[in-house]
Parts: sequence; structure tokens; C-alpha cells
Amino acid sequence: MTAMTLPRIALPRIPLLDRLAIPAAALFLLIALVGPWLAPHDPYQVDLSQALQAPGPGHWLGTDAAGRDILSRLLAGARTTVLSSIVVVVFAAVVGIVVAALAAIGGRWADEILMRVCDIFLSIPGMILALGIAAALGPSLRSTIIALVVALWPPFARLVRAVLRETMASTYVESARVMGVPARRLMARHVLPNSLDSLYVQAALDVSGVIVLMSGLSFLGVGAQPPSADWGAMVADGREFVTTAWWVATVPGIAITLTAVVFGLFGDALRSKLDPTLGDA
Amino acid sequence: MRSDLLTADGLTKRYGRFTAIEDVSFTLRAGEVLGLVGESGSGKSTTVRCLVGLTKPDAGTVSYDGEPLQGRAAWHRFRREAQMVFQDPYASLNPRMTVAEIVGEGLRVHGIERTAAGRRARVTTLLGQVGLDAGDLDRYPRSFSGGQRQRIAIARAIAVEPRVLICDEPVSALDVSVQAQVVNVLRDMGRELGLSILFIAHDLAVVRYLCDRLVVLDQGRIAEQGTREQIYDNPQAPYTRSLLAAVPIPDPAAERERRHRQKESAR
Repeated sequence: MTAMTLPRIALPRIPLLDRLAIPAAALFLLIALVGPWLAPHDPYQVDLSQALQAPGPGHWLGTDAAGRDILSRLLAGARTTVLSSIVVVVFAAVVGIVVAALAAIGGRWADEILMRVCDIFLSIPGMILALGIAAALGPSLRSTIIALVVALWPPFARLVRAVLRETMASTYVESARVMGVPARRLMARHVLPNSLDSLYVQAALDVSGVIVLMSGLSFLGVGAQPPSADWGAMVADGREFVTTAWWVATVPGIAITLTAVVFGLFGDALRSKLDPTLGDA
Repeated sequence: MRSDLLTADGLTKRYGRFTAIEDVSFTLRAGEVLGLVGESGSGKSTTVRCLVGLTKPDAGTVSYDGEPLQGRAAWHRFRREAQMVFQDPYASLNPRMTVAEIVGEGLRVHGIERTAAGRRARVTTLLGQVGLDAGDLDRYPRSFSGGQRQRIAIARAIAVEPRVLICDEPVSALDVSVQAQVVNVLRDMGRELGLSILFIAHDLAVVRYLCDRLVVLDQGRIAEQGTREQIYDNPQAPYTRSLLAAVPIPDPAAERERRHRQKESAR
């Protein structure tokens, strides 16, 4: 039913991972918030005498071609990467919920039209759609965010519509209808509050995918522009030195992977907490 | 002669090639308790869903108080004056609303009590009427038993002072021990408030206790309708006879005697 356009990282279900995922995601979020203040060096300070230093004392994760401290850039870039991904998911979720709610209460015609519009968006692979829009808007962090929201709301709207329809068929919603509760209140008080659990899970899982997509867009050059510290752009910067200075591309690459995995696990942990049908297994 | 309050006329509903109900017509008169009986699959639920507008019938009409249920104004009035109690009290109460919100919602949406304090006071009284207490106001449905939940559902239904109460097998999901209590609450409320009740059931013992008249459904059609005395003392349709024969008699000797007689006559 739902067309997932996002990469998902599937790992075996281990209860321990569930328990670690929530504090780990919280830690990553904290780093994203206070990262710039934790940086041991100025992430934008160019010092060519220190160019391409291997990881070691002084520069724990080495330096890049301009002699900038990679750890400091990583911490500064955490804010762009993680927080923008969350912003993307929040906006995509809001648009998706509004569209799905309109489709659910608007009757058959509204439903048909809105879902066909969704299908048009879904027919284009998310990454290509986002790339096209970001390039058309002019490369910047803001256009990446807009592009990803445009690419991501349709699968969200699809999912939400399916969940809302299921909730609307429940007896308590029917009993509210028989009592004459108006459509808007029915949505706000009965349908949405009882549908949100699965939406939280989807949103958390999406953050993980968006981090990867976002870094991909930056890597291709349509995201945040130099000199701002951005993980995708940092990987792109390190491309030419992969054989001579592996850390320049590898360190931010590991950061992207780790963050995506942590938020993916967080989504899974949330699901096993909230979804009663999955039980405790 | 009591006036007609709720009338089904020629209701028909098909799902693909399966006919759920066909040409179902009956009338609920003011002040009476009408039983709609039949075994599972006989079309009771489809009939009720068509009656309250949860399902659109393929043919037939529903009239309320002499007027066909068409247009906003007619439905708006019906939504206030006809209330429903559902079969499964574990599914019919919104798990994220408190008892005060659930019971008070009708008062709110129909503009009967516009202030929160006014609604709270009314809900407290209503809870008292169905045998719950004010301490339950801010609790959620999950902390109640099936019987208590059904009382909450009854309080919700009578909150807006309806004229018609439609009860869709309101006790069949409950433990036998609490069925009688809930049936009594329904009967007392009905009498106190002068309600006309459509009572859907497959348990003929309960129906006999509550209902003035009966409609018997068999495979989506009306097999027979009449007063309680007519149906129980002198059933005409073979289907009604077999339904009545399936009701156990609460006296082992009499029950054995009846089974013996049935076997004899079957030979």
C-alpha cells in the first residue's frame, strides 16, 4: 500500500538495540543542538600548513585539504544535517496529514483527486524529483529542504490516508457519527488522536532516510554551499584524496551512516513500543 | 393507537451477489419496545446500519416522525433525537477520551450545555442514573469492565434526551452475570424517559422480557412480525418456531421433556 521511496536500514530485531536506540537518538539530537559549541577548533579556520593531517593528537579526526579540523566541522555540520532532516520530516508529515485528512472527510471525489496527485508525485523516484527541484530552485540548504518536503509528502499522505481509513471504520468513530458529531470535530477528536501512533513511527523512520537523501543532495552539490560545514559536502570534498588521505571522506561518511542507523533503530524501537500488534517479541 | 416514529420501508442491501437484506419493512411506534431478532447472518446489523445511515441501502427508505430521512435538516434532527448503543462496549468508546468527554460530547455538539461546568454537572447526574459515580468522570474507558462500559454508552446515548434508542445487541458481548443488570438499566431508562426502543438481539429470553412487539428476520427477509404474545404463544413461521425451540428452559426436567418431544416429532 505505501510506496517507500526512502532507503531503509533493516537490522535484526534485538531487544537490547531497542533499549539503546532511544538514548542514542537523544544523544545525537543533543550533539546536533549543541555541536558547534563542543567543537575544539574553529570549523571554518583555514590553515594550509595543517592541510591533510592524519587523525592524531591535536586533530583527533584529522584535517581536510584546507587544514580545517574535521571533528569541529563534523560537530558544526551535525546541526545542518540532523536538524534540517527533522524539519523536512515535520513539514512533509504536516502536508501529508492535511492532505490525507481532506481526502478522508472530503468524500469520494476529493479522495480520488488528492490520491491521483499523490500518484503523480510517487511515479517519479524521490531522489530524482528532489534533485530536480533543488537544482531548479538554485543550490542552497533551503532549496534542499523544500525539494525534500515536495518529494516526501506523497508517501506520507498515502500512509496517513490508510491509517485514517482504518480508524474511521472503528466502532467509536461510527458511534460519534451516529451521534451527529460534525466532520471537523470527528477528525480532530476521534480519528487523528487514535491514528497518530503509527505516524510517529513513520516520521522517526523517515528521519533516518532523509539524513541519507539530504547528504546525497549535498554530495551532488545542490545542498548547503561551501564553506558551510555539511556532511554530504564534506564527503564530496574528500573524494579526490580518498587514496592519500582517507579520513577526509570516510569520517563524515561514517557519521552519516551512524546517524541514519541510530534514527532507523529509534523508529523501530518506537514501533515496538507503540504498535500493540507486534507484541514484545 | 400509538403513532409511527421510525419506519423502514422496503430496505434492500446487496454486497456483490450476496443479498444481505431484502425488502425489510417495519415500524417502531412511539413509546414501544420493538425487538428485531434473528440468528447471526440474518441481516440484523445491516438493517440497523441502513436505519441510522452508516450504510446506504440499495433500495428502500427510512422515515422518522412521518418525514423521510432526506436532506440536512431531517438528518440533523434525527442525529439528535435517535441515539444508539452498540454491541461491543470495548470498541464503541473512544480510548483517548475521558468518561466526562464521552458522555458530554452529545451535549456539546448539539448545543444543549454550552459550558464545560454545565456539561460536567449533567454528566454527573447521568452517571448516577446508570449506576456509576462522579469519581469516574475523569477516568478513561480502559479502566472499566464491559458492563460498566456499556453503562457509559447508555449514559452517552440518553444524555441528549433522545426519543428513539437503537440498541444493537447491547448485552451479547457481556458476561451473563452482568447482562441482566444492563438490560434492567435499559428498561428503567426507557420507562423513565418515555423512550421508544428498537432492541436488536438473538437472545430470545431477553427479548421476551423487554419487548412489546417483535420482528423476526431470516436470511435477510422478514419471517414474521407481531406482538410478543402472538410470537411466543403462537409462532406462525417455521423459522420462528425453530428459534423459539432453541431457547433453553431454565428447568432441567422441563428441558429434558421438551427435547424428548422434539425427537419424537422429528421421527
